[in-house]
Amino acid sequence: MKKILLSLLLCLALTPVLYGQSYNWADALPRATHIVSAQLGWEYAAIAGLSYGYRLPTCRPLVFQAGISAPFGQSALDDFTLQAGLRGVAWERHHLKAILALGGSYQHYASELVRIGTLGAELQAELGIYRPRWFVAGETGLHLGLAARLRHSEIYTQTIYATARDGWYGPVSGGFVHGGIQTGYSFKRSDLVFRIGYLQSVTSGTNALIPYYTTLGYNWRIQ
Amino acid sequence: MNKIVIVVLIALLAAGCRQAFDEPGNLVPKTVDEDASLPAINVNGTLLHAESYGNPDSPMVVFLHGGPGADYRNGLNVRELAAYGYFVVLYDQRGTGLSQRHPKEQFSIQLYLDDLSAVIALYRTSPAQKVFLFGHSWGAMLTAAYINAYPDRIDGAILAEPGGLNKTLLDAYGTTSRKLGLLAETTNNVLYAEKFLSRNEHEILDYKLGLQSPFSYAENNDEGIEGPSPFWRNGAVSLAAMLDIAENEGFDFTTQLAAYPTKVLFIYGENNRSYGETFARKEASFFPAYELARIEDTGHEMIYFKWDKVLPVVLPYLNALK
Repeated sequence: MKKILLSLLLCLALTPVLYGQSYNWADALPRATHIVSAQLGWEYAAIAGLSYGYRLPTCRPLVFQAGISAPFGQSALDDFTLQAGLRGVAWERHHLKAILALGGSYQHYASELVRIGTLGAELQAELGIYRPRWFVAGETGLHLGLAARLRHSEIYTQTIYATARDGWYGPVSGGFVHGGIQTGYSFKRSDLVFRIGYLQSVTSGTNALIPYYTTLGYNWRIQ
Repeated sequence: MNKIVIVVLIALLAAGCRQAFDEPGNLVPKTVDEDASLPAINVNGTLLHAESYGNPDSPMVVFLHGGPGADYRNGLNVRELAAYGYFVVLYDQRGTGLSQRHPKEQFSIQLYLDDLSAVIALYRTSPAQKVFLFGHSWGAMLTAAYINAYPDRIDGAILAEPGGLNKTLLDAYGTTSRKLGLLAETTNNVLYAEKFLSRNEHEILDYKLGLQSPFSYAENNDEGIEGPSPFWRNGAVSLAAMLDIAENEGFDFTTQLAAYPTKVLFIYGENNRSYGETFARKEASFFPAYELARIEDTGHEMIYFKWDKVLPVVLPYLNALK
């Protein structure tokens, strides 16, 4: 069963983690390090997130990440994003490193009209200078919604469309590319990470209402 | 752990048996060009979803719904005027409701005016037949725009809370009526949805806009809207086009209103904190003759929620001009 689970996780990882937490890769993260992270910021809406990372026993630094983020609001966790994937150093020369992140996501959205669950794939690349105390990198990536399950409420069917069809929809429910910069300050076992960038829809001519993202994150490394 | 694997497997399998987002009729109703059973009229190069009630020879009342990008479903109460001797015409404006969809580049304010001229011409049975316009919100703005362009064609008008008869007034109303609380549930219900359905097809854009409708009637909303009111289907592209026009070109529907001699009726909801008597009077004052009427215990959606209080105000006005 563990093999099946690992296979599924790898499948999700190989189908192209967009907004997983960034780390300072300068000290190459010793093996078996646990990293607990928290983020606050703006990604489509004001959000807060928690994530966990585990440095896998590989030669090249590679971290398995899983996390949850959710927008603010009176209804707790009616909207959220779950992510899982791998993030690691793909190439390095001295302090210059290229980081690749691959993963999958499950996004959930609920309002009084509909519940939407979306399976998505995410890919991110980062290139930057990583020093023991600080790092700065450019980042770009892609998120694709692969399929979505919709369930409409009674209000939707009564006031809008009586015969709306619930169920799975595809093939792509949405797609965004993003580009931006990230920078961080490291001290003791902690990193403070700031990211800012721009989102552009690749599946629609109309972009997100506020097409910018920014997060402030904190990493705590436990060995 | 086994349960998680099973759930993930089921989800992946189910994802293989999926429906198409853009299949007409799946998420939003079909439009008149996709469903021949819907009542439609062919005017000015487009198919409009339209209905009429009453004796075609009676004085005509054309209802202009709000939006832009809404439809006449929450204005259906206006049909009741047919029982009082009026010929009532309701239509979904170009590119919204159940009317045919068009590319964004096609839209202009003049096109909306031409559509209205064509609708009136189609239903009018004689040159002597009187024509009244009854506009709600954006529809009331369009009513003013039409009178501003063609003051001799309309025999009277009812304007229910036009959102702004020129760009300055529109911005003023927008600022007070559409406040965003960054951490509010209603805000994230609008913004977070962007993450889920970012596609270009009319079906998806209209559906997504519809999902944002609860924002308008959020608890303690400034416009005093009591709750959800029904609509068929939003027109996202028509809304985007008109917003672009307003933002990039501006507009002023008041330049010739002083030349319109007939008294117009302005109605506004008591509970709309963004509108009120002051704003209503400011807008009405562009007309040389006007009557102001406050509809008690309701807000911006007075025609749907308090028709029983709107009708006794509208009817005497129309009867006096009939």
